[in-house]
Amino acid sequence: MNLATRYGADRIGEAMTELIAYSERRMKKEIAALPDGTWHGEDAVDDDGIHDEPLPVRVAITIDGDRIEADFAGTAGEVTRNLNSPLSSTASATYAAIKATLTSPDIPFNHGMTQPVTLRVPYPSLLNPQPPAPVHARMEACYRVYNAVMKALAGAVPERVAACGYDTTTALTMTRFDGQHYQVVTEVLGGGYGASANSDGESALASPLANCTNTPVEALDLDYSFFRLHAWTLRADSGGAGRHRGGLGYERVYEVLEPGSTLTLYADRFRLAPAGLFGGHEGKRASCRVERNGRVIDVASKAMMPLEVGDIVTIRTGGGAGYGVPGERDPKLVDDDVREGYVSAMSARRHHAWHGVAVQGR
Amino acid sequence: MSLDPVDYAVISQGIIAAAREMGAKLIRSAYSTIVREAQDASAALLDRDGNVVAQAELIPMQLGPMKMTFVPCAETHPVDSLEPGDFYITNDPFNGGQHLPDVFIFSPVFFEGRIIGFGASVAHHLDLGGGAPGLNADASDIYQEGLQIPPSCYNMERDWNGGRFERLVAANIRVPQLTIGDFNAQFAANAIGGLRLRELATKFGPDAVTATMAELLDYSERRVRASIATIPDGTYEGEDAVDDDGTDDRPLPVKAQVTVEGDRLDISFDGTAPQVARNLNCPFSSTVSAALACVKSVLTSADVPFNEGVKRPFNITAPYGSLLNPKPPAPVRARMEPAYRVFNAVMKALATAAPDRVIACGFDTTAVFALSHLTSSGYRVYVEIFGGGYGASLEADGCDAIDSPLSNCSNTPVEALDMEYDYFRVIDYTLLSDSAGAGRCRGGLGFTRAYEITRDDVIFAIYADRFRIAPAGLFGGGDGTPGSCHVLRDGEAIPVNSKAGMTLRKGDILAIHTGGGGGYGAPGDRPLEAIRHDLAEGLVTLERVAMDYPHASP
Repeated sequence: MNLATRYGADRIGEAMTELIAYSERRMKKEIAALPDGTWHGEDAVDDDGIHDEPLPVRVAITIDGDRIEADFAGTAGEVTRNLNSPLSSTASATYAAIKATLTSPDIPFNHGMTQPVTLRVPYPSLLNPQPPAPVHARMEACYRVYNAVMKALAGAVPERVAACGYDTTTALTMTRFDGQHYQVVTEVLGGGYGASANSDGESALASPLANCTNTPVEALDLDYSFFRLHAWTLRADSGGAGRHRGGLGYERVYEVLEPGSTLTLYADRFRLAPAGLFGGHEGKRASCRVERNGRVIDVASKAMMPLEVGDIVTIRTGGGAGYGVPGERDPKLVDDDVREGYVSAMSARRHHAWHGVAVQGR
Repeated sequence: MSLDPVDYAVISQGIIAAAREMGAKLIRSAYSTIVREAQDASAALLDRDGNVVAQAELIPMQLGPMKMTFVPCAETHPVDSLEPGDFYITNDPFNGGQHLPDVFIFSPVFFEGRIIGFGASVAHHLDLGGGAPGLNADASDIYQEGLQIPPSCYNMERDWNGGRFERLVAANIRVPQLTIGDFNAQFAANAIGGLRLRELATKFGPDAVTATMAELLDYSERRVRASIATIPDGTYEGEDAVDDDGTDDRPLPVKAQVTVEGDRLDISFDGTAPQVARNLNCPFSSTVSAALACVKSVLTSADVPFNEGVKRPFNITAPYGSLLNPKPPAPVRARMEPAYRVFNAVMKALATAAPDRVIACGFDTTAVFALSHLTSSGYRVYVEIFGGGYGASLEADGCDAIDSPLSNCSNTPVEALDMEYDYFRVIDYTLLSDSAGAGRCRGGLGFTRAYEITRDDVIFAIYADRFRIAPAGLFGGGDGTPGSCHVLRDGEAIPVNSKAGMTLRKGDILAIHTGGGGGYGAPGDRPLEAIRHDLAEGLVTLERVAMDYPHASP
């Protein structure tokens, strides 16, 4: 309203229209510069939480002049649990992958950016379910859309894509019911990013479609009485080796302090590791477990379990994959990784023929 | 104002007739079988303070505490602030409501710009969302049981008929085409009640109508007080129990203490089981309703109009945090089971005080039975409520195969089910011989109903009771038989508990046997002619006659 008062409503309207048109022009220009052709990409969600079969997400990307088409024929059918991705989420993940790969961040993300893109998504399918399908954990399928589109684009513009990251929404919810009131905490945890032609993947960051920040340990401590955080550390060797290394995942450890607590988790990449690109290695997979009276209970990626006082819950998020062959990695970077503890001496020797002496430098 | 006795008679009967017409309207306009056929719905006319003045004789359980349901609405949105088209709506079990499927709607009746009363209706809705279609047997809190509507006020014009509230409700339920139709039937019932009340006000003046309402309440109160006064003063105790909470085998005792002092009667439930983690908790308004239904049926004759005046001589209390007065967010869907034990425990207490006016325990259980199926065109949900045998009384045998006394639902005709549903069909519906408790008067018989499942992935859920603890006979009468349920699959019978759920396959045969009622008086006193009649009708077998009635054996 301030802007409208100052410049008049009509000019604001015109500026909005122009902003959209500008993004569309820039986007079309970027696409037109690419070679025409069709490229295929594929990734998969681990499972639907009840069966063991992976749920493939397949895409064919066709570039034709200044237009781009994403066709998801061959993708898994709709599932009976909450892993379905509504069409708008599928579209969002597709646009994000295309924009991140093809354009620079100075192009405003708006409606104009979506204009050159045509989507074809089979109905009903995992990526376009029919009501009343449950859809709460849609982000897992969305990330595979992101990965599959990125892999397809790797054929067209190899220098502009990133390898697969952990790229998973790890929603870890702990609740406590005291008979009358609930305490609920939900953390959306990130992991390692995939490496690119220019740099290593970022470590311990919310995955690219979500961008959530972490919840500070102190804030959790102030707000919740029924658990406490014991550890929060980077996972050494979780990033895939490569000319550029994948980002690291991390480990978070909780102790349960009060009865009536429950753990609910949905995540992915517990079975299928993030794939490396152009000779880069896979990132490490994620896992979750509960230690109870000296016994270790494995927790599946989509699960719910009642907790007991004294339980230790450990979640490990996955690392990103590497880009390019490990042998080509700059030895100085390998030194740095070993010194910082990102890569163990053993792994450095194995993947990079490293000959140094391990010294914890921190 | 002073009321002409003839006007009073005409207006009061006019009000009662209007309430009955509301009930007929509600049932006939409804879409779902549970309202349309089983008649799990009620209607009443209220005065402007929310006192029930007259009701359609449908479901005692829903009618008893209507004022308890009304008051939280009026506290949130005062009656004086209401405008034409406004309505109150709630299903909040912790604010005077019952369980979530029972949605109460109150529509003010305006006459010359003034509110002279409310049309009120309640219907059991087929599905209001929640963790499973029709019934979520595993719910461990109220959130899993479905959409909660707190005591609220909306406007017909603005919020319904495509308006925002209707759209919100329709988006959160599984069979909106039926359920919104049932809501509309409630609005229609309220509207016809309002119209009739306005007609009476036009003819006799609004003051005469409101004075008649007040007098109707006073009349019922006087009749009830006179009846209580005939019972000897003292404290009487009774006890019964719910089988279990569905997670373990422990019975949940319900204990009643009935204290009579002159023309007042207090009922307390000290010593009753604490609230449980599953849906067997009974909201306080349901407890009040069940206790009232029992004392009213024992103490007064049917000609005393059930209205707010009936309640004035009673004081009913239950410990907070107990099975009969749970704290939120306890799940409450299957409240009818403890509500029936309230009915039974109060009845047993009264048996000492007024032995000739009580009845023995019947099956007295709400056996809720839900079959649902998800197809590409959406959910199909079938819910039916089964009764069993009534307990016998001093004068008569218990009724056979009829819904239990607090709910009064009809059965859904097999033909109606056949037309409506294609994923099952009813293959058996018979009285269960020998299920009645023996006695001078015998209990009523339970029945068997069997379904053949005709599609894969049909979801079955049940809650019931009296699968373990049989209905007790009175004064020497024998117990009725407990109920049971099983699935026949590949030649093998899989027993189903009273609170359970499972997925059925094509070809499965699902059978439920409901329990019989307890007998009244020693079997040795039963007239031979009555025993011969039961034998000829196949209600009892020769073997059982030999066992229960040796005096009848040759």
